[in-house]
Amino acid sequence: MTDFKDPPRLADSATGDARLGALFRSAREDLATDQELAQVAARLGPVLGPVPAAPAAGKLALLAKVGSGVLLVGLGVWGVRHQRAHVPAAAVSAAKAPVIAAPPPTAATPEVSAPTPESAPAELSPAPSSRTAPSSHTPSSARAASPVRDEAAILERARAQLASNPAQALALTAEHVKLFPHGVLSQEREVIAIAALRRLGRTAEAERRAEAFDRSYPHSAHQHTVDAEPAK
Amino acid sequence: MNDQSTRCFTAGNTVSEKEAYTVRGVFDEHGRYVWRTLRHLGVAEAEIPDVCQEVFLTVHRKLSGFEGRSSLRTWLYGICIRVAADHRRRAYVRHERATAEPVADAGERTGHEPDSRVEQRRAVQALLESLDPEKREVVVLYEVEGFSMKEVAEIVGCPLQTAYSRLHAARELMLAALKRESEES
Repeated sequence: MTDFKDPPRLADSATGDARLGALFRSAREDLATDQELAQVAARLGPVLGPVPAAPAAGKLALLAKVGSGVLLVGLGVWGVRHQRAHVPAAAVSAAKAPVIAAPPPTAATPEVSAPTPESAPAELSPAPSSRTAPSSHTPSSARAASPVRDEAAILERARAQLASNPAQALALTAEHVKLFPHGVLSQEREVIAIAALRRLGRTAEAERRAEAFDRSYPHSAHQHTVDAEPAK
Repeated sequence: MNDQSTRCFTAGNTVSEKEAYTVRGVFDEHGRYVWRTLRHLGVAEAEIPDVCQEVFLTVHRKLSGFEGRSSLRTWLYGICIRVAADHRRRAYVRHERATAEPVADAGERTGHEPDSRVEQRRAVQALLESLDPEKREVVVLYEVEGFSMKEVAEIVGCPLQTAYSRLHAARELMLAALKRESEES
């Protein structure tokens, strides 16, 4: 790849400035972590396409699958939220990412008595920003080995239950809150939980939770997506 | 949606001829490096997920039109450069701190990172901040991402000689910055 005339790279040069070389060697190694990448995969959701059969993609594939459902759900959730009469203008931030066309969820509202989920947090867990990975906050040390995979697994189960059994989906998001209060997929969890609440007809709770989401993630890509082009 | 819109058929440096590129394939192979590039181009840590998402949404929109005149990697990094530049402009317009205080933000810890990694990242970002965006792009693509200078020129859209000039000037500036830092400490 390197052309003949290209000078030696700083990180590879034995004759250049040693400190400069060391800094660029460290820069090369400063790649995204699995958690960081999984966060993007979850957001991209359906854009990444179907989960490949090969296990090589492993973690990312699973996360993308979760993200796929989450994003679809998210558009529906936010679409409903946009129907609220008193959506504050400040909550509608400028869109950064184009919308991925997806259908809103069906308006099924079964008469199901849901198990008690975690109530909508007044302020959602502070951790789920891109800078926060699952850490010592994770209650179960047994989960520390692959917390993202475990997070994704729970949310995938929740997503799968959303249409047929929103109460169970909500219960699973509550489980996620307990197990991963600072998880990297907390935004995605909240999107599912809000959708489940709406499907259960618990609109006031859904709205409170959505407003908490606004406060906690004012720059969330989920908001951007919907704000840019409301669900059709 | 994906079968039609996320595939293209072309020759590339990592996928054999007539093998389909997919957004998933591009993400799985290059996502980790795209993140690194955005970080070094001055996108604040908190903003990287959004910007990284935007990069791959652009890939999603444009992949079917990718004709293989350049390598996929070169094409992808061209998108990175443009998206990061757009992000910087938007951040500036919004008076956000996304790039106004990149040194402090970029050096922030991300999970279980050792102190040495955080310090190194902060030092790298400080060094790159001493460059204007055009020089910075050339340095990141050549010194970190390992592109040839010909590829760098193609990605940033400038003559090859201009790319060489930017690299040379950037090295001088970085050395001067390190020297100043040493004298001050």
